[in-house]
Amino acid sequence: MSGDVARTVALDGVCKAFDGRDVLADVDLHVDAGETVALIGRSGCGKSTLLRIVAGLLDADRGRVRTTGRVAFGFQDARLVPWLRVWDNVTLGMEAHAGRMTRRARREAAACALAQVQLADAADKLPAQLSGGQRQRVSLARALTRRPQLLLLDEPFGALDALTRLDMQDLLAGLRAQLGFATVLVTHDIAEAVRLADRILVLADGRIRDEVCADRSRLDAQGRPPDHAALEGRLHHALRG
Amino acid sequence: MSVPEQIGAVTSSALSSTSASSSSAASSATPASCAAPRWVRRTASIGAAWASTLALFALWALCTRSAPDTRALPSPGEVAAAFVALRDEGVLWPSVRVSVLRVLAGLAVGVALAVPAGVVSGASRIGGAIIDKPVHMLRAIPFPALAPLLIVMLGIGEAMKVTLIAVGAFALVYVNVRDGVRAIDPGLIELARAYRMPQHVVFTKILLRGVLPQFMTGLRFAITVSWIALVTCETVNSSVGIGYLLTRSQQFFRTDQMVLCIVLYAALGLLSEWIVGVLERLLRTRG
Repeated sequence: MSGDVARTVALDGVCKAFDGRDVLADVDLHVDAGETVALIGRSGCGKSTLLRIVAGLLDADRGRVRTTGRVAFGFQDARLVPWLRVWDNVTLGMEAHAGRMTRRARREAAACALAQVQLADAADKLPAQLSGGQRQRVSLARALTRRPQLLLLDEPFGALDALTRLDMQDLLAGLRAQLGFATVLVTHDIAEAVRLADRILVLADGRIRDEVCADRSRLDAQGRPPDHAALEGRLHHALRG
Repeated sequence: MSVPEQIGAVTSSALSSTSASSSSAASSATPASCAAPRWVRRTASIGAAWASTLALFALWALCTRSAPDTRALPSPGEVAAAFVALRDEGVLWPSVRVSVLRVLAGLAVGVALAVPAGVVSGASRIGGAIIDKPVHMLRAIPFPALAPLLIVMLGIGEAMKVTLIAVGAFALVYVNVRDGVRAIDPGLIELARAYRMPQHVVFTKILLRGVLPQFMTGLRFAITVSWIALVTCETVNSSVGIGYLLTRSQQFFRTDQMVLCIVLYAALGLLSEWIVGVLERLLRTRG
């Protein structure tokens, strides 16, 4: 595995079918440590299926799936447990490792994660008392408690208003820069993909049809690559094709 | 669920503590204080809650103002006198105590069996197929029909009485827990799988807590049915219990004692409902 040391995801020849219909056909996906890869495509093209296979929520029919051990998943609907307070929702992220962490370490990790998403003072609230953006922040905090090497996000900002979405994108970009985790982001939003990703994969008919790399060494005032317009145009074209 | 093969760990950067900028939009709006003080509103609320019950008692008193030999229904005063007489006889409080203990024991057994059965049935198709039909058959059998069979199997002692109550409680709690588990958002189960939560965490924090509203509904019905089952089982070889007092008063045509037993059942039912309400609030608070 020495060749994969810097990889967080390695999918080779992955196929998946539902009811005889091929949803993914011979997909290869490799994500390096710290890299952000966006998956875009029309509804039903297999983006979410691919993400769920990476997360281990679905089995591939064929192919090889390898991921890093520390994976966290962010859902479009934030997926908070409605009867648990924010604090308890955040600590749920550590339940898998609860036996290996002291109570104090868990408390510190939860407090730190809530502080990182700027919700330290909302720990006692119920999800119903939060706005959509705040719920997504809690979901992100829950993911951060796992100290992820790989963060999988399934249209996490799709249900938010435009301004909140921009705030969340900035937050995610800042956390990624600070903590260095790799991200696989499923999105319908081409501008969001260009703003956040190092690499954008266009899925169509269960295959990766195009791959666009964004040079993030220089960014404009809004955190986009200088050639973002050209990238967006190319992605629009690829999606229409 | 399969866990994808793990590839070499990447050097992780530890989570660094950052100071909270506490910019969350914590709403601190204070509701405008109402004109009436809190104790006035509380008293008014309690008064409104008891108004219908008091109206029933008033109607009862009004209907029984004539001479005792001109009516079949005893007056509230006569029932109060029967209460004092039975208390002085030394049978009232032991009967109440024994009846309450029988209901508690039956409920405990019924609930203890119904919760796991409901969870298994709700969470697993095979479990549902195995458990559902026998439970539906059992709950369709009236208590007076079931009692003779239990007497043959368990005798006429406490075991038979507790079992009859447990059977009644079991079916109602089971059905509600089963439906509660089926109604849990599948997304939460997917969340548990995505975060590889241990089974006991999924069971306690998602399944059990998720079915709490339906469980409490089932428990309320189960308590009501337990009191009904108690009447049936206390007519069999009982020398103590509210059912025994009721049977005795019927034999001696003491309508005042009969109505007293009915009032006792009603009061204990009300008390049970209050206790369940407190329990529900406690469990919800604990999350």
